[in-house]
Amino acid sequence: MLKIENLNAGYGDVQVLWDVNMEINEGEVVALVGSNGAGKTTLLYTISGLIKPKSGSIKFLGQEIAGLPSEDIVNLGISQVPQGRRLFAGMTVKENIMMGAYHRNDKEKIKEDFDFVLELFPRMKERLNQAAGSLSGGEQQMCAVARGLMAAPKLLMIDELSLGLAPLVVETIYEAIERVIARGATVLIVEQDVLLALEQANRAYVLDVGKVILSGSSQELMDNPMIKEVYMGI
Amino acid sequence: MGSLELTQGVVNAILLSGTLALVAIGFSIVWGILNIINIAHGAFIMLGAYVTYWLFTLFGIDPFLSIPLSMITLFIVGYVIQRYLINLVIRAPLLVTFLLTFALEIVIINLATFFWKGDLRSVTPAYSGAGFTIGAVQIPYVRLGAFAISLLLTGLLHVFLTYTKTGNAIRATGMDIDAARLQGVKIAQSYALTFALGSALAGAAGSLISISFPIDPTMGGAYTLRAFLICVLGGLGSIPGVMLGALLYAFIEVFSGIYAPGLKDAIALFVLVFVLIVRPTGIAGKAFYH
Ligand SMILES: Nc1ncnc2c1ncn2[C@@H]1O[C@H](COP(=O)(O)OP(=O)(O)OP(=O)(O)O)[C@@H](O)[C@H]1O
Ligand SMILES: [Mg+2]
Repeated sequence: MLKIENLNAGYGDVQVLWDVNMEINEGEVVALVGSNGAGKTTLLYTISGLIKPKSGSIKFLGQEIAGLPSEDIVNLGISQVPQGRRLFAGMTVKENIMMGAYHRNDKEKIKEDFDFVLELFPRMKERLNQAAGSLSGGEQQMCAVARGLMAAPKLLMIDELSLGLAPLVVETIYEAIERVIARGATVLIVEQDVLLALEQANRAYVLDVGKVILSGSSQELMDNPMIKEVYMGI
Repeated sequence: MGSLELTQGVVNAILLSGTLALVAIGFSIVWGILNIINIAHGAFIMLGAYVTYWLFTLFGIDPFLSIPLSMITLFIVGYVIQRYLINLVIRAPLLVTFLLTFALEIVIINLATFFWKGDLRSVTPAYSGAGFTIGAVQIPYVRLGAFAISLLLTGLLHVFLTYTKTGNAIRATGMDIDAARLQGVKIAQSYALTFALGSALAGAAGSLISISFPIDPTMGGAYTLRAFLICVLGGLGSIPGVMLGALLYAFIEVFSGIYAPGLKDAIALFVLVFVLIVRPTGIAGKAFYH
């Protein structure tokens, strides 16, 4: 579904990603892990078109999308729950969630999806008319995931969902995401918390200083002594 | 000063606050969403005033009826200027856009002076001096009309920003540009539309001003300053903030005119500094489009 080949990208003169190769198949849950500053967010921004790549190819459903404007990429079916949530703080929860469907015109399906995300996150239902900025961290993350789902994405990318949240809240949100996955969604999960990511995913890539240094099934990586030592502290 | 003078002053201030809110609201959304302090805002107000003046003088079109035409004209002017000029430096620091719009103001005023001369002109429909009185308080029709239209347009802007998809996209753009792009918002379009709307509202303000006050090509500068002060007083980024700021500023303007003519700007700046010390984010605080 998504095929990234020899991707190089960064900010201005600073190159962050070096010859990144990665593939995500339809229906798969793939984890992208790596430590602080490895370039995970940069990769997601490049896929979403917020950053133009220096070179390389990103193919989505067979179509080259590297360098396309971000609105075209959302239209093609890639949505992102960005790191730090990036909600529209002064807008209500409902307005935030509906912004996710901004590029869509299928009114009835939008309504259906809206009901679905509210059912996934009942807490949002109680907060619909509250300013997103006034929510707790966990609620903000729910709102961000709900917004991401409202794009009706073929591929959903979630960046550092667990960051700064209590484990119980993280678990609640991942349970909701598991329900989405059970419906056949294709998801790319980015986490610094390697164990958490591997538990969710079928396969994983390890990014280190902008390079993919390892990839394989979640089980393989969990058993990998280097991963155990460096990323799980075992 | 008697109580009649006081009451008349209060009524005048309230009526004036409507037009001033309209003067400032376009300036406010452009500042809040595009992060541009548009020095040419007053020049757009002047253009709106001249649209109404010429339509009245050449074709006898009632000044209130020419408001939509003035708005459409300025909407187009604003859209083109944003898309093909300001867009070139959109991510530039505030100082660059400040200078650019400053230059734009000078060009517009120069052209207006060249084509229309620097004379003071007035729009004088038959009902110009007419009005009614409540008790002994006088209410001129044109001021009341200007007040009502200002409130109407301000309300419509609020409805547009809050209840339409495009309006929400504009607000989202102002709050977090990258997050807005991730939802599929076309930023260039959002920006051009916002700037065009701000210009259209400036055009409407100019039309209303031309009915009550004489106009000339340099009239705009004073309104840019007022818009700036009102935005800072009220707090950047919300319509209620602008309205509060405009109300406060109208009272300063009217009452300093009664008690201390000539000190208007000094008093306004004094109050501004005072407000900023007590509440650095303005009276209403920083709100929705930021
Ligand atoms: N806007 C920017 N301009 C310049 N450099 C940047 C910018 N954003 C990130 N970087 C740099 O790019 C590198 C990769 O950052 P990135 O945010 O992609 O890492 P990450 O893997 O997502 O890290 P984290 O787990 O902390 O989120 C870092 O060295 C960072 O300092
Ligand atoms: Mg990151």
